[in-house]
Amino acid sequence: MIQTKPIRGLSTGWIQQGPADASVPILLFLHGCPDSPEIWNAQIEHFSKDFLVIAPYLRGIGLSQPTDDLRRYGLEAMALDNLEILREVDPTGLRKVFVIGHDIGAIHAWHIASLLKKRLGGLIAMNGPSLYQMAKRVTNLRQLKKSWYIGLFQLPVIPEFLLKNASLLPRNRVFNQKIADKLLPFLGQYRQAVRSIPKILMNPPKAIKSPVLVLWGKNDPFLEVPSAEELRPLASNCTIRVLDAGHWVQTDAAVKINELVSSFLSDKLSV
Amino acid sequence: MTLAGRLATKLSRITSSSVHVPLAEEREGFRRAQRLAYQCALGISKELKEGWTERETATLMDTFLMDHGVRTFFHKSFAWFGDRTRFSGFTKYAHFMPSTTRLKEDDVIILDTAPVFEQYAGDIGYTTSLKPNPALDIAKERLLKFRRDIPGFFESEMTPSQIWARVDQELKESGYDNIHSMYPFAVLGHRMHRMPLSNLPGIAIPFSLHSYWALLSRGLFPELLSPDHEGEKIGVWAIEPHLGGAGFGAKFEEILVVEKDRCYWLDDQVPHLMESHL
Repeated sequence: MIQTKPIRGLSTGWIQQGPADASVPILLFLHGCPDSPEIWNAQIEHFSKDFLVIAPYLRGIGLSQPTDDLRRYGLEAMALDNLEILREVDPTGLRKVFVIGHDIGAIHAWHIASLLKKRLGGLIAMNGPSLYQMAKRVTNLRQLKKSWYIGLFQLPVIPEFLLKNASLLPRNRVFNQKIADKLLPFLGQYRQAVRSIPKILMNPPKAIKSPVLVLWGKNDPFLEVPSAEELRPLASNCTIRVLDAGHWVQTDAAVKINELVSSFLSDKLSV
Repeated sequence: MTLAGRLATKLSRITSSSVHVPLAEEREGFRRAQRLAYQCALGISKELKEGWTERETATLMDTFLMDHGVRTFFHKSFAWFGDRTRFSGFTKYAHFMPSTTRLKEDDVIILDTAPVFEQYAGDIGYTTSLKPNPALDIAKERLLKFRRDIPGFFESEMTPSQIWARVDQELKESGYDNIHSMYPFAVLGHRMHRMPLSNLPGIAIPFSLHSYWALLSRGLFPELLSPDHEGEKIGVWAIEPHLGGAGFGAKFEEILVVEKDRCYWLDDQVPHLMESHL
């Protein structure tokens, strides 16, 4: 069921599906770029039988009102939005929350997870890094080669012009005007994320104590597969599973992903 | 009295542009800013979790305020946890800044922020805790008594320095320490100003250039309710009694309007008052 409510002054939408029982844990799914929460349809269908599934439209996407105030696309502002959505669906604040993020949604997921503390049941990151992890990759040439577009997005005006006129760009099998239109509302998030990098490098996040599961499609054209070494400072209890899938691992290998997530959730809930 | 004290007393008698009865429009501007600041403190206090750092909390408070249209601050947000709420071990200015101290289950929490909203500054302080805390409840009751009494002190013949001394004396008689005496210039409060350049960000580490200018351009000392102030009382003040109990501190901060013949709190819809009616 789609919910739309003003969240901190801006109309915000999310998919909410699951049992009415107020004791079931919450699964918060955060989509990536250039997607919408519907990218999680296979997971929403599967997990809403036993969990309350919440999948927000990130700021500026679909039912979540865009704004000229760039700050609202920042890590902190979007964390406050998501915390308020959680408060809307669980006013007591007592239900365990599992946060699941993909792509740039994983960046938000790592941050929200760090704020939920004991309320966090676990974090699942799918083909998406934490901001600290991504910032540390600036010396990785292979990653830089894959992330050139993030640099382009930092320029003023030009990205907007190019995305509105995708036909001017060299022909490409995957990139077209439809994709460009979907990318456009994500510019604010990429710009704000990059602006947060100096601060996060100066104040590295503390390792998350709750269990973390990293699921990664190895044929990702945008992100290098993370190493255990890279994740060690971010999570004290982390498992990495690499799958034969692409960047959109949750759709490429939906059945396997649902299986792995189910097993992670039942492990953590039986403890 | 020291030479510096005598000088501060002399300077406090300057009649600055802050010495005037605020117009209805000004009161409304200050009220809007104060309500937004309290909305921020309450909103963030509901999200607070064991393990958050003071710095994380203050950043989220600033984010909340900027998301609601704030572009600059009288001062950026402070968050203090545990014995830092009574400024234990504070020996220099930097110690007041939000630190990496993590919130513990039994900690007392003080959130203090001062946004400039639509050209007016609000400056609030809110004390809370994650768990019920009887010692804090008693301290908050004491603070509410100050809230009832302070307008009377201002309406009386007492000078600002006498009001400062009276609050100090009553705090100590109640068995608490006077923590506001540890603030810069030992202020029990300070005047509040309209800040017309509120769209310019300024630098806020934690006080913005706007606030330094607002205070210094008016001679500084008439603006501070310090133990040496012998000047005029009329105007708009942020009053912040801060007491220290065993292992914790507690305060409130809100705007007091002082007119020629009467004195009143700008707004009664403040959380420390409303919570006491629950």
